Amino acid sequence: MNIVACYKIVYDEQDVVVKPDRTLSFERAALKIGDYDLNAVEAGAQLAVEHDATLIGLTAGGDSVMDSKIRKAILARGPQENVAVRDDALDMAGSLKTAHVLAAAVRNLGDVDLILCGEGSADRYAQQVGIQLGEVLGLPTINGVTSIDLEEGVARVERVAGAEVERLEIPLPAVLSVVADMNTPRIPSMKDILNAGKKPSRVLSLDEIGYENRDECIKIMSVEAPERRERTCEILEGSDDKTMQEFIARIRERL
Amino acid sequence: MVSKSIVVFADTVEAYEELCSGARALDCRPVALFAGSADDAERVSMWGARVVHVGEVPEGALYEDLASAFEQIIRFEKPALIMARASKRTQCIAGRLAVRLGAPVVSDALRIDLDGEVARFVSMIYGGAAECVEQVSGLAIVLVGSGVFEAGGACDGGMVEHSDAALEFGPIKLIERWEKQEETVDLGSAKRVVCVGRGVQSIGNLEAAKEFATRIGAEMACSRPIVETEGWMPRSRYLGVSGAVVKPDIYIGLGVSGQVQHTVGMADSQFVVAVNKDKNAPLMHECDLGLVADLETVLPVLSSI
Repeated sequence: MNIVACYKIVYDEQDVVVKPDRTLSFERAALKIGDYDLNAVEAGAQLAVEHDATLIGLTAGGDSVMDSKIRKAILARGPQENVAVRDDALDMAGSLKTAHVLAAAVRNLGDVDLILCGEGSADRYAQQVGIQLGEVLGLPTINGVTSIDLEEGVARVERVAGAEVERLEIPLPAVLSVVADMNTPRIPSMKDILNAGKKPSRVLSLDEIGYENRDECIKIMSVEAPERRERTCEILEGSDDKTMQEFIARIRERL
Repeated sequence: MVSKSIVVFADTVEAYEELCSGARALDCRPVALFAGSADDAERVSMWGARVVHVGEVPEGALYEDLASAFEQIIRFEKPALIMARASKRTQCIAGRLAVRLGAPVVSDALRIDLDGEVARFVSMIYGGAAECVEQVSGLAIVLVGSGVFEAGGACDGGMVEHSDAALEFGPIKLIERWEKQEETVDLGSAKRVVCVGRGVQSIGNLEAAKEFATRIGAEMACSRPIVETEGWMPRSRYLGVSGAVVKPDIYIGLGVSGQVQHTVGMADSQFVVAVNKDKNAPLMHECDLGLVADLETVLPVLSSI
C-alpha cells in the first residue's frame, strides 16, 4: 500500500517583520513545515506502520523545497521518501493551481491508495487544496477527518462538520484532509534526523510531472499588515479598591 | 440594465439572511441554492432571494453530494459571483465546483468588491498578520464567515422555484451521524462580548467570567487555545482566523493576550477593554481601556456590575 502525505513549506509567521509601509519582510524568517500539515504526516506515518505501507512526503514550492533542514525534518517524521515539485511561482500559488500541480505529481508516483492533506496551509489557510486535489484526480474526498481506519479497499473515517460527527465509508484511493486536533505530531529524535539524511528525496520540475503551466485567474494585488484602528489605550494598573472602582465606572459608561 | 445575480448557498438556513443582504449590498440579485424542507425554502425567500430549491438531501447522502446539482444550476444561471457561508461542508462543495468550473476559491473573505467584470477580495493570511487583496476576472467562489455582512431582515422580491437538477449519491457512504454534545452559536451579531483567553487560567475563573457575561447580557467568546488546547469552550465561540468575527459595541477581553490570529476576529469592535496581569500583552496596545491586574481579584468586582 502506498500513502502520500502532502505538506507545504512556509515562512514561520513568528519571524515576519512588518515594515513601516505595512509590507512584510521575510528576510529573517525561518522556514518550517506547515503546522497543520504535520498532522497529515503524522497520520500517514502511523497508518504506514500499522499497514506495512510506504509513506511518501509530497510538497510543491519554490527554492524552499531545496532546503536540506526541511527535507530532513520531513523524512525524520516517518516518510520513506520525499518528493518535491519545484517552480518559483508555486510559493504563492492559489489553491487551484497547487491542486493541479499536486495531482500531476501524484499521477507520476504510480499506484497510490491514500492521499492525506492537512486542514489548511499555515500561511494562506484557504483549506481548499485537499478537496480540490481529490476532485482533480476524480477521487472521493472529504475534510474534517478526525480518525482513519484502513481496511481492504476502504477507509472508515470519522469526521466532524460543525456540530455534527459522521462515520463514513470511503472507497480507496481517496484524498482525506485531517484536522489539527486529530493527533499530536511527533518530535523526531536525533536518530530519526540522522537516518533521514539517508532516505531518498527527489526534486521534479513542472515539465517532469507533465504539468502544463496555465495562467492563474486569481492574482494577488497586495499583502500588507492590516491598518490598526486608533485606540485610546488608557491603562489602569493595580488591584486596589480605587483602581477597581474607576475601572468598573468606565465600563458602566459603555453598557 | 438587468442587474447581475450572485448565487449563494449555505448549510444552515439562518446563514442565508446575511448572504442575501450581502448580495444586495453588492448590487446584485441573490439566487439561493437551497436543499431542505419546503418551509425552510419559503423562509429563505422571505430574505428576498429567488430560491432554487433542489429538494431534500436524500437519506444516507451527504450535503456535499449536492456539488453536481449546484454545478448544473450555476452553469445555467451564469452568476457574477458564487458566495457561500464558510463551513466544512461548503468548503467541500466550493472546492469541487472550483475544479469543475475553473473558478478560484477565496476563503474567509472579510471584504468583497464587485466592479464590472472584476471582483476584489480581502482576506487574512499569515495567521492574521497580513491582509491579502486578490483580484479575479471571471467567476469566483467566495466563502464568508458569519458577521461579514449585516443581516438585512425580510425583503420583497423573493420566490421559490423547484429545480429538477438530479441529486446524486457520491462514492462516500454515510454510515452514521450524530450531534456533538456541543452547542453552536452565531456570534456575528453580538452587541456585547466577553472573551476569555489563556490568562483565564482556571475553570473557576471561566465560570465567573460566564456569570459576568450573563449579567451584562453579553455573549461569551474565547481565543483558539481555549477550544483546542483546553477544550473548555465549543468551537463556535472562538474568535479570529477560521473562527468567528465580531463587531460588538463593547468587547471585554479577560486574560486575552491579543495575538493577531485572535484580533482579526474582534478588531472592528467599537470599544475594547483588556484585563491582563501582563501589561506587555499585545491587546494592551490595542485597547481603549486596559486594566493590569490579576483576574482572581478583578472577576469578583466585575460580577458586582
